[in-house]
Amino acid sequence: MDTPKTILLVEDDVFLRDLLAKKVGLEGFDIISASSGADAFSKCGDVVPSLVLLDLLLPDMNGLEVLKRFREDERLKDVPVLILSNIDQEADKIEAKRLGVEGFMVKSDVLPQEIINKIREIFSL
Amino acid sequence: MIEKINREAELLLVVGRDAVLGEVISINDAKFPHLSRVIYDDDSKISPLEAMTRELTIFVPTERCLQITTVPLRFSGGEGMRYIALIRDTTREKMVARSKDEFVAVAAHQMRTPLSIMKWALNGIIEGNYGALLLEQRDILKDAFETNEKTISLINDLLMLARMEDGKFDYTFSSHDLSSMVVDIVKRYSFFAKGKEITLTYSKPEAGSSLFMFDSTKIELAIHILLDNAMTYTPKHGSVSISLRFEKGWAIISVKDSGIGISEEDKARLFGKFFRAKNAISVSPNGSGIGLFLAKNIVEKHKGNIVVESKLKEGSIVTIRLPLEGLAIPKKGKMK
Repeated sequence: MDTPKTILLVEDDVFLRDLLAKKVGLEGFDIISASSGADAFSKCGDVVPSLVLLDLLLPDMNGLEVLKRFREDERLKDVPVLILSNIDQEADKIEAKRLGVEGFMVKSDVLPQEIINKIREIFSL
Repeated sequence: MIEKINREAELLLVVGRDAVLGEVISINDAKFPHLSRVIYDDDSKISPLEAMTRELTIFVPTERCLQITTVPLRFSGGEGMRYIALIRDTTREKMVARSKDEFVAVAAHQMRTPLSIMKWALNGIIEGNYGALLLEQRDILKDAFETNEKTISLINDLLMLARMEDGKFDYTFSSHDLSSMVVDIVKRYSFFAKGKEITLTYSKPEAGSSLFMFDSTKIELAIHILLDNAMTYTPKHGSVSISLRFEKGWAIISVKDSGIGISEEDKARLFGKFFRAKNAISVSPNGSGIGLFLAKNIVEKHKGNIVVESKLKEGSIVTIRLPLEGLAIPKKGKMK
């Protein structure tokens, strides 16, 4: 049997984080939650996630900055990243695309199931 | 060679009149870097044959946004070409626009986040992720979910409107298959139609390519607006049909419904911003009145047109016509 995929969820809103973590967990993925950019890097100290679900407006840094640092890190540079944000400015989308994200989803426009479908698509499941 | 420079330009570009008059300025001139960038554009060309305006940002040492209009002056006496460069300092208006953008982005975030929480929480409970529900409880939560969806849709409409009015609603034109796009949209609406017991049909164009240049995101949005209206204002057991055909250089998309219809008086105001007909308000009190205004704007940016035919209590036909030849397509594929 394949090793379960580990998903890092970087989201500062505790309610949204818990709701999505529950759904992702119910779908059989291992989930690690982080509430800030620094927390995300700290959690990656022990494990390289199979996918990062990344919010853009974080308390300590912009999600795009987190993404840039992932891309500059030898261990983490190839980890797929899916942006989940309620800010959908064109400039952010262009920059995220330039940094090679798997997708950009507006949280208020999608259901958790649609995020799961996208995750499955990324993992080719 | 610099023949004249006024006091404001001296201050703006940090050059002294005595130092610069009579000087020949080169590309990337180390002595007069800002003046050099005013004279030469990014392609290192000194100037065009007709008046041209471009934007320029310099740091002196703080950021300054300039609008440069270069005008060639022609003389009959064979004195050669001279140019006058008019510099407008647009720093303040750019800063205001940037602050407004940030405000809209933050406002969007602040409004969307609680709505996302409601959406995900209600959806999780309705799906049974937190235990089984009684039928009545589920129905009440579904109503709450739908109300939340309407608010999200309203926020999205207002955001799009703000972007459009700020010139941030960029258009990117590329080749797309309109027919397959309509098929996808109809698929997404079939679930909605089933729930409301509305017959939804799609009439495809006759054989042939439906590939042409348009902004797919924006045209998709316009078709969504038309279908959304048709579904909202058509009662249970009614019908909605969408057709696509190609005729004499035009793609023609029509959405026909057997809904509440539009009065003659309201037709003239239908595409106005925030306009809502009385009979529409009674069916759907929470609409924003922005949809058709946006759709018209999108279609007209493609040099197309949108028209409505309707009879009260009988239904409506809204038709979008888009030119197949790229009348609207700018050279670099983008426009605002």
